[in-house]
Amino acid sequence: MTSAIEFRDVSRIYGDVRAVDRVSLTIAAGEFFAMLGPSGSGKTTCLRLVAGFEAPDAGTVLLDGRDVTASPPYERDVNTVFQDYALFPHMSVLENVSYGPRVRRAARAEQRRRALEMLELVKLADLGERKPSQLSGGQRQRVSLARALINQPRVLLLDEPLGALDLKLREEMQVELRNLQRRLGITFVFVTHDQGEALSMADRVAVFNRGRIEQLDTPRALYTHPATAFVARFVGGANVVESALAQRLSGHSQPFAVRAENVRVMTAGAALPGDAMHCPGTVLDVQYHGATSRWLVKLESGEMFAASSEANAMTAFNPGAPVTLVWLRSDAVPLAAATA
Amino acid sequence: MSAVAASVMPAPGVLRRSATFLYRRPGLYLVLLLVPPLLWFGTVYLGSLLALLANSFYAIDEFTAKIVYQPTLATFKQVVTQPAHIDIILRTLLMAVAVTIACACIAMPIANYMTRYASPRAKALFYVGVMLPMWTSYLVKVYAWRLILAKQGILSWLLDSVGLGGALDTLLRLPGVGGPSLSSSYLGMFIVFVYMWLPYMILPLAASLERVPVSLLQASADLGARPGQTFRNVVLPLVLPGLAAGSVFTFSLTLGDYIIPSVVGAPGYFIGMMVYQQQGTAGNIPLAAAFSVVPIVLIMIYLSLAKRAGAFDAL
Repeated sequence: MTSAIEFRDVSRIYGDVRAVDRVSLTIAAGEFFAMLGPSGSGKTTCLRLVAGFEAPDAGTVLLDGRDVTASPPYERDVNTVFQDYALFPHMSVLENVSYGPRVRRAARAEQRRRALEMLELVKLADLGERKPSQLSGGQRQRVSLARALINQPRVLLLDEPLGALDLKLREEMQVELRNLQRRLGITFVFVTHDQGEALSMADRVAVFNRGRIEQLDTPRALYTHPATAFVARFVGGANVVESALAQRLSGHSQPFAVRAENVRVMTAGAALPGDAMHCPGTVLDVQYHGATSRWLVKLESGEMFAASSEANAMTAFNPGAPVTLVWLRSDAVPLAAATA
Repeated sequence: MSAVAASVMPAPGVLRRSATFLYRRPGLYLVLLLVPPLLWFGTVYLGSLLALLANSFYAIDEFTAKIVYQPTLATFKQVVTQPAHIDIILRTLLMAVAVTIACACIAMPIANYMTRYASPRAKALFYVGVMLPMWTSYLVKVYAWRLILAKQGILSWLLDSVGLGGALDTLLRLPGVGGPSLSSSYLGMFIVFVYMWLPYMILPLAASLERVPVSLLQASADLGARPGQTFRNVVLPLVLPGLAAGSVFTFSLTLGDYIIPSVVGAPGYFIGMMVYQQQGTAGNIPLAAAFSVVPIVLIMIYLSLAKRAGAFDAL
């Protein structure tokens, strides 16, 4: 199977900021691929490098094995769903969707037929005559999707596609995007800062930090076996134990991560299970999240630790209470030494 | 509760109490704010214009040269039927159309560069550069242009020294636009008009270009449109309101100007000169008023055509 997208040592530099720093990656055809990271981590720049809105300062970008590093966007078999949807405000929905075939000089009847087909696909068949300003956010999102899919691209790029939608709509669209991708078999690459979205939708996720990929893995592997402290914190919201504390707790200095749901909060001085690590601390705050509760505990060495569990599974501790945090040795995931 | 409030807030003075009074009555507040400017706008601004227009419905007595205060359309009839007057209107209209088109063609790339490509610093410089000529005296600029365009002026000297003097002579031999020198030809007048009104085209155009999000241009390219197609299909329709605003400036300023045609250019009369002459030396206020209605009517026709062409759909 050929790769749909390949980056070879790609860098993009703005002034003295390395927005993308020697990134190499391969995305397989038909894959649902997520680029995850905080803002400014280089994920969106990577997407724009694929679309052709930016040119790399170094390295090579390949689409379907063809070097497109110097090709303008209109010569790439790639389409984009923009974060702000970028619908043409002076055109009707139908005109927006048929824009691709129109600028490629398809016959008028053909333009219309394909546009209607696309609107059918995104369930907006009866809104073709409206202007984008007369649509809701969710509807605009679908129009933008239909417009990007009409050229039957090999790759669809989605830039924070769900960012502007409210929670319920976002969950619906997540399912819909996933189904659409399976049905069409197109490679989807989507950029998000929401780790839940990336984990629930993607086949593979690249976690970006400071212009580099920290880890590229399946969602499950990212969550259960984060490779670095950054991934552990950003993806799993896990507690990271740095070398000094690790030395004291486990006997050697390799840092490790423990996810909050694996940490139990116990009364100070309670009997401890045998194969566990433990650490004294003071409860700082308890947050009620409905199904779960989350404890913030300050360790004696000053670090903050989070523990979560089903709301009523643990004794209620008030802020200020001395407690012992306990977790199984097998739940401590060793991390690569700090990457700064 | 009230004791606490009293200890924190000082006792309300007259100013504070009247502010509160007005805050509670937004209607009254609005009226107080709007009446002075509306009075100015209504009486001084529109009122004087209406008084002028009213004059165009009178006529002058041919023998006594006094205004006859009897409503009549005779003066208008004079304007639109006398061949000399029709000539003036057509000459002015043609010049206004040519100047507007030229300004649009020159302004578009400049405005596009200013808004899309220039660094913030270069952009500020461009804005200052565009407006700088507007800060100097109008008359100085017109007379300066007369010197530039004169027979022995800088421009002809420059063209001669690069060997293009012959081209200028050929241009000046063209019937209609030519003349004995640039400063006494319609071509010269056209150049000065374009120079004078260019900022009025660039600024609204730049403002409307500024409002076109880059993502729309990227979306267009992303969907396969070449730069030319993106310009025609996306940029142009979205900046049409700015283009329309700018062209109303260049068009109406050319229609109404009387100084440039009298300082630079061929001897043919323009509407503005006619208004100036009729209300001044000739003392025919009604005819001057009727002539000044012509640009208003032409602009209205232009705007309704622009509206029909969809220039304001993107507003």
